[in-house]
Amino acid sequence: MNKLEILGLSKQYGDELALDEVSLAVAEGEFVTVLGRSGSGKTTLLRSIAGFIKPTAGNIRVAGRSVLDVPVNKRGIGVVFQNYALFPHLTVRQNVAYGLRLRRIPKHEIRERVEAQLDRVQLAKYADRTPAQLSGGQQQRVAVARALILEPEVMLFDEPFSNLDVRLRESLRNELGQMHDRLGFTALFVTHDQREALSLADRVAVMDQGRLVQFATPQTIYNQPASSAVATMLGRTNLFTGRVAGSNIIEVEGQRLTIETSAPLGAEVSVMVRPHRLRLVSAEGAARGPAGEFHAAGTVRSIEYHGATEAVLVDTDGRELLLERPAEESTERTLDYGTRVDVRIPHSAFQVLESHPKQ
Amino acid sequence: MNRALRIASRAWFPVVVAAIIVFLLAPIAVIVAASFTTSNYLSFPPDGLTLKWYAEVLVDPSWGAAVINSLLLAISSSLIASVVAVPAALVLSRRGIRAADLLSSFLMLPIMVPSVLFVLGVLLGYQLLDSPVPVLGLILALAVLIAPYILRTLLAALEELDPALEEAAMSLGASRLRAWVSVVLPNVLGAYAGGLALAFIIAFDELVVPLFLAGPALSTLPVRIYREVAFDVSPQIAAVSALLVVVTVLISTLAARDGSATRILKEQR
Repeated sequence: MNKLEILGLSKQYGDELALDEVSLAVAEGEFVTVLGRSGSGKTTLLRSIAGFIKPTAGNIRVAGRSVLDVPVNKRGIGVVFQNYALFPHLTVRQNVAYGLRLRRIPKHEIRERVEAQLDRVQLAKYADRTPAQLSGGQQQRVAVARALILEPEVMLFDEPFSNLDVRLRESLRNELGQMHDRLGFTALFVTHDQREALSLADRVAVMDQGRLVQFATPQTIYNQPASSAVATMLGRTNLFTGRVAGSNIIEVEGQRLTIETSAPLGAEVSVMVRPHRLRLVSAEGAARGPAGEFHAAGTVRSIEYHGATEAVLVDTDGRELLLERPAEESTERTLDYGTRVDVRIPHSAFQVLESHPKQ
Repeated sequence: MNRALRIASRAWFPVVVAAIIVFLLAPIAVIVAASFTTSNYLSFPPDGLTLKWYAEVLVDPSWGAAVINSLLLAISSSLIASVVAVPAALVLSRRGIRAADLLSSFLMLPIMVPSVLFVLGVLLGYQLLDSPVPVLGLILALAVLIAPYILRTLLAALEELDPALEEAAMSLGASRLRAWVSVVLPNVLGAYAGGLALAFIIAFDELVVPLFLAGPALSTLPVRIYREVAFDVSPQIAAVSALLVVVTVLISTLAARDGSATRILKEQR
């Protein structure tokens, strides 16, 4: 069952369309991340769902009922804010109890439920501290516990990690994932960080210029991006322009590649290869590679060492190819700026992007 | 931070700090010392030690009346200033208010304009009306003068507050009003108290405004001291000043607990 349904949601600010007919549905217990750059409309989407913004058109359904006319404080949606927005003048216990207090629930019941909730998120020990005395991870748990205790239909996360350093961000991401596995809430998580989006999500909604451009599993988003915009948003990639030259044959830079495609004969298409699918062979190798591989000769432009891997930029006749390989390989064969190399790419590594490259 | 520490560790640093403290505190120390003198005129160092001037001041009903006048003026003007400054701060702290910067600069004007000019303006205004300045006029003038201090401290605290706090409260079920009362208010109350204390002290200590605007029948403490000094220099004045210092220190200590006093000084730079 879908807990959250967004139907043709639009938001206009003056001449600017911040949200352009976005539709998506989140199933019960599902973790959906919304990935987009700043200005992509992802925050507008989240704030519309929470009720802080009134959309211009479209509908929002929570547990099957439209909430467009329901004010923020009656929507039954939990929000975890950037920087968590814990109430600084209240203790952890009082923060978690805040929502229940507003609901005129008997005192003893509030106490029981708060204690149970604090146990569930392992905060019982810190119940009497104020937010300023907590670590980042503990603050996150308070923020989640405070919203979750009201048993919201949907939890919204507004880039909660964006102001944190990389290491803390990773551990909080991990912890949030575990909390979701354990507590099983329905979540919509907005972020501009592609790693966060991919690692937390059951499904990723990619937004660009107010539109939802792809909504699929992280694997599909990464391996079969719907457009070059999505492809580049999910990390560095190599983009080519090709022409359909036959049934499942695309001509790229004069080479006929076997790539599955539904594009019509003669159509110009955009083709992508992720850097880790590129392979280096020494330049003295045969000028023509084995069948089933794209090949190009070039010279090394730069080498970036990343620890487990290294990224090599190869200049082949004026166009640059980015290649990523395990760092062990670099000890077998050292590369320098200007080394002549041959790049090989199996046809199966190429991916046709649906959109026309010039669009 | 490191740089500050490095400067603080220099050999000359304690000397400079000591000099500044002496410079700031010496006049007060002189006045307090002089208040104990046995001679009939202000003298330093004191010729002997006596509490007689304090006794005279405390017994003389005209000093008591001056203190009460000052207190009443300070209380009423800081309340009126609050009525104006608190809502103004609330509105100005909202995002997306057009010309908020301009408006808050405008509201800071009373601090920028020399109070003599301001007071002359008020006097001329009443002259046009062909009326003496009523007590309410005096209170309002004081309120105008001190409102910026309340506005500034409160506005600074409100702007520092994460706007998401209010939204968080609302997403947890609070109405806008409830969110404001239960979350915003408790987090800026300290700053408001600090601003209020500062405003109160300034109204209480103000000389120029009541000197020009109050009729001869209404004498405030600073005015009384001023007149006293103008005619003769009885050690009574030193005793009054010493008492005034004690009261002021007490109030500003209360205000400083929140750090608002330092905040407003920073804003003033």
